[in-house]
Formats: sequence, structure tokens, C-alpha cells
Amino acid sequence: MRTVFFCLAFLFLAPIAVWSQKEVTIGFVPCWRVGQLISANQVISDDSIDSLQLKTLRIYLHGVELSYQGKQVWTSGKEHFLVDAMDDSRRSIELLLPEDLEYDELSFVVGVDSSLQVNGAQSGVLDALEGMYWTWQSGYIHWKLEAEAKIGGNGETITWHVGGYRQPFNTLRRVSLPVLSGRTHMKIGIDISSLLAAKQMDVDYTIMSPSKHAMHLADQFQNAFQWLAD
Amino acid sequence: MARRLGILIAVFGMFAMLSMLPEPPVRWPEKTYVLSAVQQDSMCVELGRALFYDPILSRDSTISCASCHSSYVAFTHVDHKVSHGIDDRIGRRNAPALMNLAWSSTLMWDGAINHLDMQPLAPITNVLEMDEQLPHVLEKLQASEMYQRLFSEVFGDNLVTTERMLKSLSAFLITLESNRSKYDAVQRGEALFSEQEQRGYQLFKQHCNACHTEPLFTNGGFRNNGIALSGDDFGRGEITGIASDSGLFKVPTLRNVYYSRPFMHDGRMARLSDVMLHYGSGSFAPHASIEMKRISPMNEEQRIDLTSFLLTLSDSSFVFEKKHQYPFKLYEEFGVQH
Repeated sequence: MRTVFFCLAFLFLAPIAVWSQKEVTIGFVPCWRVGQLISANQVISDDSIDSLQLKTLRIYLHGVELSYQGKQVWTSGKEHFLVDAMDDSRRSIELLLPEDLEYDELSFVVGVDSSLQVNGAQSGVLDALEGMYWTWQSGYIHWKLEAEAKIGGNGETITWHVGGYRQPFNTLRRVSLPVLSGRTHMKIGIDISSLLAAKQMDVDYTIMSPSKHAMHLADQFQNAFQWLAD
Repeated sequence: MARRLGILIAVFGMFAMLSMLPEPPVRWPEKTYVLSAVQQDSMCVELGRALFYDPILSRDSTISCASCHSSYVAFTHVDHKVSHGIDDRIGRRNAPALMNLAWSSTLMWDGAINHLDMQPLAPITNVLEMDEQLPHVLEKLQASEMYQRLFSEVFGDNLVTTERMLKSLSAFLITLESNRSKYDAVQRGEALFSEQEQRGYQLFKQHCNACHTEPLFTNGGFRNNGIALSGDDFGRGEITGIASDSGLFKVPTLRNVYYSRPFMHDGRMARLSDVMLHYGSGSFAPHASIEMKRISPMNEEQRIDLTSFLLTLSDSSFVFEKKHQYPFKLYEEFGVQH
């Protein structure tokens, strides 16, 4: 009798629990300096660069957390997201949050969790088919930026495949941004100009393995995220 | 006084008796690879075997995993210093023997691969080996009648995915267990070493066991064994980026060493006697790992004794196991010809 009661209660309450959730969408778009959006095939130029055409910007995210007054109030758990900032259909992540959840900070980890790096073949967004897995050595590419640029009169191909989950070249980074609760659609810009500033720190235009250069880029990337107005 | 002397004699006698007891068998450690339920299915192993022997994994369907890992030589590439791959391109390192992979947490001479599932991606995409792209491999397998049926039988539908392909290959590779050598029979109390083998075993334990640790005959680590470094190969250091790892290579298993010549990461030593001369010299380059510096010189008789012991690690039942070999029947059933 008691079991039947609990089953019935679950059947009635479960839909209410689902109804009282809201979907929050966060889009990721490349931008140049503060808020100048970069679209596919667009050529950027300013006083620091002759030209830049962004080809690829793909990023793994996990460990999305929302906090209120310094205390975590929601987490996405182990779920991983693969954001393709150059592809309209794959540039957003969706979070299912409790309707009345209050939060003032959003944070997420850029890259693939270390435990999954040593756990064999994965599926879904972590399928090696996504082209975000190094085959010559085990490990996911946390984020990938490819561009054609002309800098100081020289043509450069930028290939930054940043990965590494072991010390001393662990390039996983957590990004934190202040946020207002209540909005269901948000947009985060990724400032490519700040990454090119990393080049001034003697970072090569081709980075394709865990290294100190990859660490510099990861540090810089961590600070490249900024809120954009709708 | 007499009582104390009695106790002393009793303790001494006890130790003397203990030293006369046969040594306990060496225990196998826990496996590091955990098979899923699907992978334990014999059909999944068969699918993995079909993939292992199928050159469909290479760009022009000429090179299979077995091209460099032949079953009859303990799954290595005999008589080739380094393997040759597609279009006769010459590789960089000596193909390692494949066995007891359930205990391997790192693979390749430099430990570049951290999980058995991910190992096949390296040769498939290496331009010197199979020179193929993963999406194209999956496309070719999906178009194959044989693989459609095999994937369907194993996974319930015929969808070919990266995860399914890699886990099937692992399921087959895990079956390559070598534990039926004379050494193993001695450990189980079913056989005895000859006097020469026993002397070799003692030498082995004195000089080799620190790195080629029983019962796997590797400690799974990376060491510099004191051979001259080749100019462009820095081994483990290339993977970790740590200067002190430069020149370190994975300690290979000595099981089936009789079958798995040539030796060393670059195949520079063609015969076991060359290897014995190197280790028996007792004199190594200054960059050699600490264990090497503990090896004292061995004379010819000792080298022969040690070789005699190493030959007890030969497991002919493993090398000639039919279940590990080219799946003629399966390919024949589907009219697949290589």
C-alpha cells in the first residue's frame, strides 16, 4: 500500500518538478577587443594587426557551476560540452535550471576532465571522430584555434591546439564570470585579440602539444571570456 | 646462559629451515584494463580479430595491424629493425611485441598512449604506418557487409562508431595473454628448471629483475639502458616535455624474447647474444638509469646461463594459438580477400 502511495506521489510530483525548471542558453562567439563580433570569413584588421581571418574555434567545457554569494547552488556535473564558436548550430550550451534559482556567478572549466583522459574510448561529444583528440599521444585538445593572419607584413598560419592534462603542462583552466540570474539567453564573447597578445610572450604560431607555450595560451584564454550584450 | 644459547640455536635453525623452503610463486598483479560485458562476449573478440587482421584500416587497404604485429613472432615485426608501413615508408621504432596488455597502463616505447582503447588511433593516422583518417575508416567499415553483420551481432545494431571499433579491438588484444611458458610451469610447481636455467634465474634476479620485474617481466616504467642515443629520438621526454625524461624508453617485457627479435627501441640489436653482451659488459654510458649501474659484469658462462633462463619465457602455445591468428574462416564466409 505504502509503495503504491509513493509511486502515485512520484507520478504526480515528477512532472511538477520538470515544469518548475527553465532552460538557460549560453552562446559563445568570437569577438575582437570589446564586443566586436567576428563572423565566419570576416577579415579583421586594426592598428595591431594587418589582417586576421578566423577559421576554427572549438572548445570543450565541463564543470559548469552557478554560485550565489560564494556558495555553489548548481552544477552540471560530469557532462561535457563541445562548443564550435564558428558554427551557429553548435555554439551554444543549454542548462536546465530550477525556476527560482538565484545566482550571481557562472564558472566553467575549459577542457576535458583529467579522469576522462585516461579512461579509453568515449562517445558523444568526446568521440575522437570530433577531431579534438590527439592520436599520436593520448589526450584531448581542450580548445583549438586556427586562423590565417598577416602581422607586421608577414603571412602567418596560426594553429593553436591547446591540450594537456598532466603536470607540469596541465592546461585545464576554470573561467569565472559575474552573472545576473533570471535571463534565459546569454552570450559570452571570446576576445581573440587578447590571445594574439600572448604571441608577444614568445608563443609560437604553431602549438600542437602540451608545453610551456600551451600553458601561456591557456592562461591567456582564461581571461578572454567576456559577457556580450544581446 | 645455556637457555639463551638454546634460543639462539633454535632461531638460527628456524631461519636455516626457512631458507631451504622453495620460493613462493610470483603473484600476478591486478589487471589495469577492465573489460565491459560486451567486450567479454566471444563475438566482440572475433570482431576485434577481424579488425586487427584487416588492411581496411589503412588508406589504401594494404597495411593491417598484423602487418607489423605477426602472431608467430609474439606479435612483433621480425627481422625489421623498424617497421615499414604504407608505400614502404620506414617507421621510426621497432614494433613492440603484444602480450599481457591488460596489465599495461601505458603503451608505445615512449608511453605516448595511456589506454589500450586509444592505441589503434596512432598507427591508423600515422603517415608512415596506415596513413588513414578516422572518419574514412568508419565509413569503409559501415559500407562492409561483414562488419555490418558483426557490429550488429555484438552491439545489437550495425552502427559503426569509434567507441565500438576501438573497444572491439581491445577485446581481442586483451586475449593475447602469455602465461604458459616453462617459467610459468615452474612457478605453478608443474616443472623444474635445469641447473643451468636455475643459475640463469639467480643471475636474472640479481641483475635484471629491478626493471624486467616478474611475472610480467617489465615494471611498466621508462629507463635508459645505457645504449648510445640516436640523434632524433628522445623517447619519453618527447611526450612529457621534461628534460630528465629524455632518452628514457619503456621497459619491454622479456616474455617470448626468443621470438621477438630484433631488440631495443630502434631494433639495433639483432640477436639475443648482442643484448647479453651489452648488459654483461657492466659498463654503460653515464646517462644510464640507476638500475643499470648496479649490474656487474658477466662472463660468457654467466651470459649463457642467463640466456638459458630467458628461453624458459618462451610460450609456444601463445605464439601458435589458433584463436590469435588470421581469421580465414570468417573472411572466407564473406568472400573477403587480402
